[in-house]
Amino acid sequence: MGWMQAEPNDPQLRCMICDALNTVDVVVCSECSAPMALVHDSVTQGRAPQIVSVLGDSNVGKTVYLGFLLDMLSQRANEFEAIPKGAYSVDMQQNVVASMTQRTFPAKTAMEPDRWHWAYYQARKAGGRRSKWYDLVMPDLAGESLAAEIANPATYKVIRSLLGKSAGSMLLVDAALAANGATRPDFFALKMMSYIDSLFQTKRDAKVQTPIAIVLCKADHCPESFDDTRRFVQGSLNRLWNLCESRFATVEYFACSSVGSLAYATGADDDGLEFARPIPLHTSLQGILEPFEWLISRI
Amino acid sequence: MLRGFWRQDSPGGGGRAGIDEDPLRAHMQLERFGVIVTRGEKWRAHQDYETIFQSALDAIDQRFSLVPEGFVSMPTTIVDEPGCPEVDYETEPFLLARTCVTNAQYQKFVDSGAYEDLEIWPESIWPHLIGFQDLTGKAGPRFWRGGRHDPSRSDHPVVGICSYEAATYAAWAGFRLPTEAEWQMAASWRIRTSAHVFRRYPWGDSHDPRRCNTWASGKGGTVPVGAHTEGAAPNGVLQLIGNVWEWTSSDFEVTDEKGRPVVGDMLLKSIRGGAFDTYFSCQATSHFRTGLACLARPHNVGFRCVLDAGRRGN
Ligand SMILES: Nc1nc2c(ncn2[C@@H]2O[C@H](COP(=O)(O)OP(=O)(O)OP(=O)(O)O)[C@@H](O)[C@H]2O)c(=O)[nH]1
Ligand SMILES: [Zn+2]
Repeated sequence: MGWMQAEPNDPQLRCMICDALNTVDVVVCSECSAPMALVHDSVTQGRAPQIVSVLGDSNVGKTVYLGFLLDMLSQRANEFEAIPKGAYSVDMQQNVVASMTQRTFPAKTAMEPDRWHWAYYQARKAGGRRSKWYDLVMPDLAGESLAAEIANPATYKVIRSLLGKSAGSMLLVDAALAANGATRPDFFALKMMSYIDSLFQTKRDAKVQTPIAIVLCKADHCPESFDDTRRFVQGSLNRLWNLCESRFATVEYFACSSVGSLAYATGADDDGLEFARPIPLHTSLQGILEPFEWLISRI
Repeated sequence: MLRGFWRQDSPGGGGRAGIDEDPLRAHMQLERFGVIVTRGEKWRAHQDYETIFQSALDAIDQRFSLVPEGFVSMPTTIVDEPGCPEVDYETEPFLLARTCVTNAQYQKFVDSGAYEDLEIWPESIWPHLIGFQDLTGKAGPRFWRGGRHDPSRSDHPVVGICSYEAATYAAWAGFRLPTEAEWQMAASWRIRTSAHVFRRYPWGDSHDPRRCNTWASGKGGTVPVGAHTEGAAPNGVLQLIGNVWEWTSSDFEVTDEKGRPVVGDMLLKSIRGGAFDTYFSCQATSHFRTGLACLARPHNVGFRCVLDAGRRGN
């Protein structure tokens, strides 16, 4: 674990995401804002955390998904034990829960990495002392930053390092848009997967081994995607399907939704512009834990 | 008007497999108790009239409870905060089914050929009727297969039915759906004489995951309609909170906090009570209001029937 300490006697710590040097007392990395608790904890525990990255286009539902996932993990003691490391880890779920109980969606994630929420959790499947602990780092990235990085690799160095170090990823795809015939979700997912492919590529014919869960978000709009997720992907996200089948060895498809019923507040804003603000009338969580369980059992 | 499966002149020589050819006995067999007790007069000449009529009355006595007259207040904005605008409704006494309609009960409706009998459905939804299919493309609730429910779930609430299927079943059986105000009265027990007694839950004022099936109970799916007797309302009505949301006959009409209309992609019907996957306990109470697209057929919405108190035994 050479990244823990830059040099003997050097009081600086190397960020485990972007490799920048930080003084020992900082809470988050000065370069990429990843929690430095990762490094501190690794030093004491002698093991490197597993990074799980949650990817997806802007507005696919990453923040909502991650917020509920973490909140469920920290509540459902009979299936998982999960312990947030550091108060900052709780912000993401609190933000989502607070918004959704007020029937609003959380605000859009800012593009600047220092404004992303990071969650660092220790989790294990319930079932006795012998089950393995996972140290999980899950940042809530902004979709636009991801898009910028894919378009011009190295725009966001943090994203490249993060993906390179991820033990597994979840790629969220907007099933509602895809079901309506939009091609954007398919193209974004295709770009994202080919980016990952090129990042991990060793030999030309070897498939990427890193497990990737493809998660269809907003499946409340297209309930048929719950009934047969693979068929939905084949039908509505065919480009993604083909790439996954040919280049990725460990990939599975899931559908999820956080919204039980969606309505819109309609009217005109102060400038007289018509708007329809989406309102989650009630919450109904479906398929949130499944991709996570699948993923951590493979990393 | 009551055309259908038992008709002597229907193709194939009458009733569907296993359903009695005799209309009154068929009603009994299909559990259309409401039809028998409210429209029984026309079978007075039937040789078994007295026995069948009495059995239907007994079934209603066993399965329905009286909800006394009362009143309810409902917020008219999506954010239910102290001081937000409300409307008050008075409710007449009515009989409410103690449990939601089960898969086994709904099976009888499907088996009777209800999905093929246009006359029992409102004309406005005829174009959609063909879409009311199960996972195998047969007519029936969305999660059934081959027109049949999963036998291990016979006593679970039927789900995967839209508001029209719920309302049509209820009418077919001689009942109706509760209005939203009636549902709230049944769950909150705000009786006229004791103006300010209002229960947040049928059993009292505090949330208790052992008394109902919500996300916090950890079951992860529906349970039989007779479960959670410890969460019963004072009159024995079960599972108003949790297990499945319940369709009501009312349209869901609210505004946002600035008074702007809140609309769905299609007409929203009010649903009540929360379900096995309701994550926030504040959304599974006697007063939490929400709505759902009238044609949605989700895995967590069922319904129960109502009979007007005055009509029992007419
Ligand atoms: N119907 C439905 N809509 C959802 C769901 N989750 C999210 N949304 C909608 O998607 C929007 C974006 O959700 P976010 O979680 O903020 O999306 P994000 O991927 O984090 O977006 P960025 O911040 O732009 O990266 C929300 O404002 C909702 O309108 C869901 O489960 N169902
Ligand atoms: Zn860093």
